Amino acid sequence: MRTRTLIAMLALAAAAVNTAAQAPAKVRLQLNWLPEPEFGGIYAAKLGGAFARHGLDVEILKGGPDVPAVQMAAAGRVEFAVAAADEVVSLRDKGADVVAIFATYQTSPQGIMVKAAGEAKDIPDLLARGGTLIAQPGLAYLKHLRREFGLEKMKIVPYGSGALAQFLDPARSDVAMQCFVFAEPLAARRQGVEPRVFLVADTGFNPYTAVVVTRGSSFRADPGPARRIAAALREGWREYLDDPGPANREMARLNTAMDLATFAEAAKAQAPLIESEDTRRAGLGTMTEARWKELIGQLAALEVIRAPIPARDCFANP
Amino acid sequence: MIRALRLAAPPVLAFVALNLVWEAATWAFEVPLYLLPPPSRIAAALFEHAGTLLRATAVTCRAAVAGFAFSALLGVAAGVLIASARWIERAVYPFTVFLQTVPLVAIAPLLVVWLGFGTRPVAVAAFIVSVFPVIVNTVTGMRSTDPALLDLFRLYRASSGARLFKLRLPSALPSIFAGLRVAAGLAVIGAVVGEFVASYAGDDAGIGMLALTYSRESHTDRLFAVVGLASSLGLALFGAVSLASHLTLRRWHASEQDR
Amino acid sequence: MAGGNASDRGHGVAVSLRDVDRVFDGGVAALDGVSFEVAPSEFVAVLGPSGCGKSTLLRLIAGLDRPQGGAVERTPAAGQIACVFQDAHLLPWRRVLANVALPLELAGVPLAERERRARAAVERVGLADAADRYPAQLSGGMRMRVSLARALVTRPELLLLDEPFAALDELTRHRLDEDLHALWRRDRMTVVFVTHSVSEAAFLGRRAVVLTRRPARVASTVTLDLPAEREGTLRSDPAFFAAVRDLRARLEDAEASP
Repeated sequence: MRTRTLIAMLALAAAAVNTAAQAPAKVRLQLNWLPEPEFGGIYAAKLGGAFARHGLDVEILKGGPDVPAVQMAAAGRVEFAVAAADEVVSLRDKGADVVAIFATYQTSPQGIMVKAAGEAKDIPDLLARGGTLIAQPGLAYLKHLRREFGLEKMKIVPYGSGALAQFLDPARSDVAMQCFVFAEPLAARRQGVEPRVFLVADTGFNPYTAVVVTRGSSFRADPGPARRIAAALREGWREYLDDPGPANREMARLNTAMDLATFAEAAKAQAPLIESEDTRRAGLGTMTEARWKELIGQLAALEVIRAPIPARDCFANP
Repeated sequence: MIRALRLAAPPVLAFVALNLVWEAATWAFEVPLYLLPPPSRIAAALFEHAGTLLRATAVTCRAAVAGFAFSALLGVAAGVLIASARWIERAVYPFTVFLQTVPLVAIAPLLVVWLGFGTRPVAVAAFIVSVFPVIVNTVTGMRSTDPALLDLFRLYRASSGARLFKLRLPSALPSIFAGLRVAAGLAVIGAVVGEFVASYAGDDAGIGMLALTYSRESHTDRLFAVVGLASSLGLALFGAVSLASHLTLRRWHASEQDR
Repeated sequence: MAGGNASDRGHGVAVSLRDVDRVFDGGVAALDGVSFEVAPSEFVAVLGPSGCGKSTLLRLIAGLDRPQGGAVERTPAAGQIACVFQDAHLLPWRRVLANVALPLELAGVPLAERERRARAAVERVGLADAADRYPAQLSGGMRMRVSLARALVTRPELLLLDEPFAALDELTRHRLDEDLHALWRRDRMTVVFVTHSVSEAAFLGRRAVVLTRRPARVASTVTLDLPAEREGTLRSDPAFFAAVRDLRARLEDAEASP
């Protein structure tokens, strides 16, 4: 081959490689619910440019009650997904290789809400009195509650699209509902029903929640994208905690079930669950092995997994 | 006895072969458990959770059988009514077709609003999905009465009641049973799909709700076990109707002879 | 029924057709000005080319259909009618006895009596052993006998048969012809027997009515000059051959006519 042609081809190739390195990497991030304040930092990272600054072109995919977000990441259908820590452990036990890289909530916002007029003092009291519980079947903390306090008195109905309407129904006084402490309760109050919320974490089950996960094999092969998205998320969440307005407007547009005022209230209410001593020390989204070990032990006792798995396989702080 | 064995051999052997291939493939390709469990794990899940699974099967069975019974009674009645006059047919038939084509997953939440959770809405779901074949087959059967026999009944000045119960309905039975056989399987499907939305979760869960739960928990082996039970339930109901058909028709209808 | 000669019980209905027209939807004329009479207790054979409207004629006589023009009269009008078609048309889900009893059942006759009369009818056609079987278990000839028994169980005054034995083999057919004729001799109802077999018409009928092609008219009627007892031996009698030849010629004329 002529030397000049060869040099030209090499130059073209180098230019192509360079361009590729400079073009932002296209990745997909699958949410596990509709856009709500729990994903505020994600939308802020997109709108405020944090993703772009770290060389990422992130497509945020909306989720819902039945979207198998974490399974999709495990199977490689999406690069990143949002899940709860107990889902990560459960799936790893079944051969799905997912790794958590960013924990939004240091304290789990899972809660059970009842009507304010009800008499139950806390979750154990509620379960002893009985009634109807609207919850997604298969939630890990239901197993925990069954083991700790027993669920025989509760009739469990699935959390579908009409769930809030069932809760608000004035004819039902003994109905309780799965919620995130700052989401559904605020929506109920807006509709004129005053709720009371019990935090599941208070019963001793407190997994990291709204955790961003990625496929283990991809992460070990090239931790670059995970590192960049974690850094971008830290910036995004910082922006959101300082000023949730722009992200809220975008999310309210995508999720018409919640209005802007509720978004604002929720963003304020969730802040204490996101920041903690750990995050002030090591940055937003950070995770500790101790917390993962504790969760794994609980899940083994609940027989969600057959035996404890190594905690450090489940997460990383990239 | 030998003949029964020879008849059963091909499908049984095929089933065993399929399972062996499946087992070997998941082992050879190291397929993760949550994606595709091997038959051995599915069988293990079936035994480990037999209590829960069988209880759920009983829940679904109740609703499916109730829905099927309504389909049988109301479907035949509607079929007889529709076949009795052209104007009734024109007025009513389009609505029955509507019942058939509206997707159940769209109606199911409405059923919950109207009927709450539990057996009732699931039975209604089973009914909605299974009634149409009964109606259609009843109408066809009622319309295929031997015209010469109709003439004969006219000649002997039979009342319309006599004509209906002594001629048209018995004559329509083979067609009706064909419709009922189809409806049996559909009733189970309708019940399981209805349960996705309308079943209790927890201890009163039906097969559909268990399937949803195991799917969410990524317990794919239990999911397959539950699906297997759903199929078995459908098969059992189908078999029961086929048996009833055989016993009723065997002495006089070509479709049940030669067995 | 009180005494009287066996041969002149006069049990039958008289049938009269005058200028009967029958046109179907689409303008297809089946019958065009058909006229003939049947005297009480007479055995008339109706002969004609295939598809000429013989079955339509029979349905008009039975009152199952109405003519567009002309009149069909039965005297007395309320006399009991029975039909036998080319297929036995039994209720397959009932046993033979219940099939034969059907007309009585529809008329409200109580169970004990109708069972008794049905058994008697079944015996008359020689099927006493098969009374408990289902139609699916019978041969074609046996099913036709059941159909005949069903027709006879009401003691009809008018018996209409539409090529009832056409689907059977020749030997069975001959046997059934003889049996039918014997039954008629005993009961003396009016019989109108449609056929397109010339020899059958000659064997059975006292008179034969020959129809043209569609739209059918009466081409000719002929009284058959044969002994009253129609035994099997008649078929080898020269008088029979003559009658058959005559009928065949008339039929060919009728087929040829426009």
